Amino acid sequence: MSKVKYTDRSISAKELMYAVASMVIGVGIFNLPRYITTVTNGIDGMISILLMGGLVLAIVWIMGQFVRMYPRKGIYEILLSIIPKPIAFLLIIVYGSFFALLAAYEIRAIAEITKKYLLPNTSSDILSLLFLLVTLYALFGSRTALIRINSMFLPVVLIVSLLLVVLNIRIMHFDNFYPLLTTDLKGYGSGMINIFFSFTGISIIISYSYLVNEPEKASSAAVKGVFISIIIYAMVFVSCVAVFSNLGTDFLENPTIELGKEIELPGGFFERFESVYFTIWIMTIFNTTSMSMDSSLIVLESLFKKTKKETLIVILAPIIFFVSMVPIGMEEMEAMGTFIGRLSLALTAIVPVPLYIIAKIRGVKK
Amino acid sequence: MKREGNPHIDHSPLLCNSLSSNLELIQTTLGPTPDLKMLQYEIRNIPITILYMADLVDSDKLQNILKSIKYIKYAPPVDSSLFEQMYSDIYLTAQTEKISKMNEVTNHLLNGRTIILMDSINECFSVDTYGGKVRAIEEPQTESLIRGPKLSFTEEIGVNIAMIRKQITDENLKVETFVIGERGKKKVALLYIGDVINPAIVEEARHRLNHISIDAPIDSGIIEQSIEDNFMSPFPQFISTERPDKVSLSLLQGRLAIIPDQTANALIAPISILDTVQSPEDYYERWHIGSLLRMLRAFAVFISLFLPSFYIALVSFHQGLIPSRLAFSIAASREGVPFPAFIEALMMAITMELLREAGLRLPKPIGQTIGIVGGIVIGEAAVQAGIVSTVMVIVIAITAIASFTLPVYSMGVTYRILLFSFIFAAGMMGLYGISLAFIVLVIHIVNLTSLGIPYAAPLAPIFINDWKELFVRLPIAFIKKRPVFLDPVDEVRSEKEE
Repeated sequence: MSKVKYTDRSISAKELMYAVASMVIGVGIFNLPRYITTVTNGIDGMISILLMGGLVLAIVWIMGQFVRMYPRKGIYEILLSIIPKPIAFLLIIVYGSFFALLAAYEIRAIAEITKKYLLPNTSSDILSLLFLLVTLYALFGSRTALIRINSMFLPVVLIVSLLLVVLNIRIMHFDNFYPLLTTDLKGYGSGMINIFFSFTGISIIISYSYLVNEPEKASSAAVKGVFISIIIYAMVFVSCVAVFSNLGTDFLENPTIELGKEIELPGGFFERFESVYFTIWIMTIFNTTSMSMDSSLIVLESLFKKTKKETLIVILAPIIFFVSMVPIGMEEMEAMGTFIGRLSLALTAIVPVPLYIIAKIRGVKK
Repeated sequence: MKREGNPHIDHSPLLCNSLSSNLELIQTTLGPTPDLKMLQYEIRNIPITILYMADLVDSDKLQNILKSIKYIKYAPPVDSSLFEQMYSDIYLTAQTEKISKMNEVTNHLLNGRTIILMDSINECFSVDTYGGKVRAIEEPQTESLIRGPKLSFTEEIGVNIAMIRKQITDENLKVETFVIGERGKKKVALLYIGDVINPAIVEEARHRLNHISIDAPIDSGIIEQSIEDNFMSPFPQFISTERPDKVSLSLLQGRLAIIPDQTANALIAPISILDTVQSPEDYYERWHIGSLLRMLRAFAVFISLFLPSFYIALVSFHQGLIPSRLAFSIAASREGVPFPAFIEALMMAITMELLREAGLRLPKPIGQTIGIVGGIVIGEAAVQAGIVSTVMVIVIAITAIASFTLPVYSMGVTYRILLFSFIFAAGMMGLYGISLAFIVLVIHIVNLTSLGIPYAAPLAPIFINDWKELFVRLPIAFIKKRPVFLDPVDEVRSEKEE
C-alpha cells in the first residue's frame, strides 16, 4: 500500500537539526555569559566560545557518523556492535542516568528561575511538579511528535533571542570589549570547560539515531543545529559584555535574563521585557527536558524490551522528580550543574572518539 | 462498494407467484401506513400492481411510467412475454432493475422507487422515481462571502455532487458511494481527484467509512464523529462546509470530501490547524487582501486565546510588567471591584457565552434585543454597579469579536473552549501557567492527526513550501505547487510554463 511520505515514525535530517539546536539551548544560556566572564577579561571569552564551538562541531560530526554507519539502529545496538557487552552495558547505564540527571536539573532550574522572576510566592516544588507533568504529557504521546514540537518552538525562540540583542543595541558600550587578549591560557581553558555545560545534550543525535530516515545527512544536520546555538551563544555573550561590561556580567546571577530587563520597548507596552522573554524561553527548556527524559526512556526501553513504554515512564518520572529536589539552595544547584557539565564532557566529548576509532578499525558488521 | 449486509437479511423471504399474497406480505411488513399508494391495472388479463410511497416519488417520473404502461396496454401484442416487454419499455424512460427478495422490495419502496408487481411471476421491477419535495439551491447562510459563487449545498446528494462536477469538469474527479447505517440506509459519497490526492489518504477514508456502525447518519456530523482520529480532542479533524467552492478548492489541493445524503454539509479532510485562518475568499480576492486578511485572522486567533488570560496574569501576578501609566488607569477601573481578576474574567466570559447562545436561539427579530440587553445592561450596568471593571469588559468584548472572525465555525468553538482553560491557567499560575498551558496545547496539536496526516503540518513537520499559503497568500504565480504536507501525486498545479 502506498503511504504518505512522512507519516511513518521517522524524522528527517532537518528535524534532527532542529532537535539538536533546541536540545543544546537550555537553561545553560541564562548563566553562560557569567561562566565565561569569571575566568576571562574583556571580550576574550569569544575565543573560548569559538574554540569550544569548533570542538563540539567536531564531536557532533563524529556522532553523526555513527548514525551513518549504523543506520536505523538504537544506541544500545550501536554500542554492542562496537565494544564488548559488559562495557556497553555500563556505558549505557551511565548514559541513561546522565540524561535523567540532566532532566532533573532542568526541571529544578526552571522552577527556581520562575520563582525568582515570575512567581516569588509559589513553592518551587509545585512549579517543578507542574513542569514535570507537562513533560510527561509529551512523553506519553508519540516520539516523532515530541521531536517535531522543536520545529514549532525553535523559530519563536530564535526570534526572541534576536530581539533581545537587537533591542539592546542602543545601550551597548563597545569600549567594554577592551582590553583585548589579556587573559592567560588557563583562563581560556577553564572558559571552554565552563561553556561545555551549555552544549550538554548533543548526544541525543545517537539516542534518536534509529529514527533518522536520512542517515547520510545526519552529520551535516547535527553540525548545522549546533552551529545555530553557537551563534546564539556568541550573540548573547557579546551583548552581555557590551551592556553590563565584563565585571558587571560577573556579578549577575542570570545575566541573559537581566539583559531583558534593560530593554525599553518603544510605545512602552511592557515595562519588564525579561518576564515575557523568560515565559517564551520556557518552551525551549521544555524541549530540552522532554528530550532528556526521552533519551533516558530510550535507554530503559532498550534494556527492558518487554515492558511497556507507559510503565517505564511511570517508574522514571518520580525518580527524576526526587533527584530534582535533592540540591538545597543555589550553591548546591550550581554544584549539580557543574557536575552535569563535567560528566557530559567526559561522556560526550571523550567517549565517542575512541568508539569511532574502534568502529572504523573493526568496520561495520553486516 | 456496498457494506456487507447483516446475516439475517439473507434469510429474507422471496417473492412468490401469487400477486395477492405478495401484496399482503408487503403490507404486513410495512404495517398500516397511509402513504403506501397502490395502483391496480390489468393488461392482457394479467393483474398488475404499482406500488410507491407518496411524497417520496417524483410525480413526473411516475407519470412517465404510467404512460408507458398505458402504451403497452393498447399496443399490439409482441412475441416476448408481457414481463419482458414491460421491462424493455420502462427501461427506456427510467433506470429499472429486477428484484426478487422481499426486503429489497420494501427497501426500494422506502427509498422512493416504484415497484411494479405482476401476477404469476416471482420477480418485480423496481423503477427509479426518486424525488419528492426538495429545497431549492440557496445562498450560503452561515459562510457568506462578499466575493465567490452564491451557491450552497442542498440536502440532495445528487445535486450536491453535480455542483462539484460543474466546478471541476475533470474526468479524474472520482465519486465513490458507500451505504451507511443499519436502520436508515444512507448514501455517502467520497469525492477526490484521482490523480492528485495521495492514494493512502483515500484508502484510509475508505477503510473508515467501511467500518462505520451506526443506526442512521442523520447529519454529516454523525459520520464525522464515527470516523474521526481522536474523539477526545477539542479540535475538529474534519471541516464541515456548506460551500461547494470550498470543497472544490480543497479537492484541488489534494484533499478529499465526504458528502452524505440528506445533509446540507460536506466534510473536508485531511485538514490542519492552519485551516482555521483560511477562507476561500482569500483566493478570490487579490493577494494583498487575502494575505492581510489571513494575518488579521491569525492575530484574531492569538487574541481569542490569550488576551483575557494575559490580562489576568498581568493584573493578578505580574503588576510590575504593566507600564506605570497604564497600571494606574487599570487600577482606577478596578477600584471597588470585589472579585479577583480571575473570577471577574470567568463571570464575563460565561455571560458572553450565554449572550451568544441566547442570540442564536431566539428568532431573528427578537435576536437583536439580546445585543441591546447584553451590551447595555450587562456592560454598562455591571460596571456602574462596581461588579466588573471597565477594562475587563473591553477585554472580553475584544476577545468575543476576535473569535467571531474565524471562518470555520467549529474551530471558533474550539478556541472558545480553550480560552477557559487558559483563563484557569492564568488564574492559578500567571504567565508560567499560560506558558505551560500553551506547551500542553502544542503537544496535543502535534500529536493529533486528521485522516492520518499530522494536524500541525506544515508547521511541525516543517514544509517551507507550504508557508506561501500559511498566514499569507502569495500571488497565484508563486503558488504553483499543491500543499506538500498532503503529499499529492500530482505536485504541480499547472504544467504550462509562462
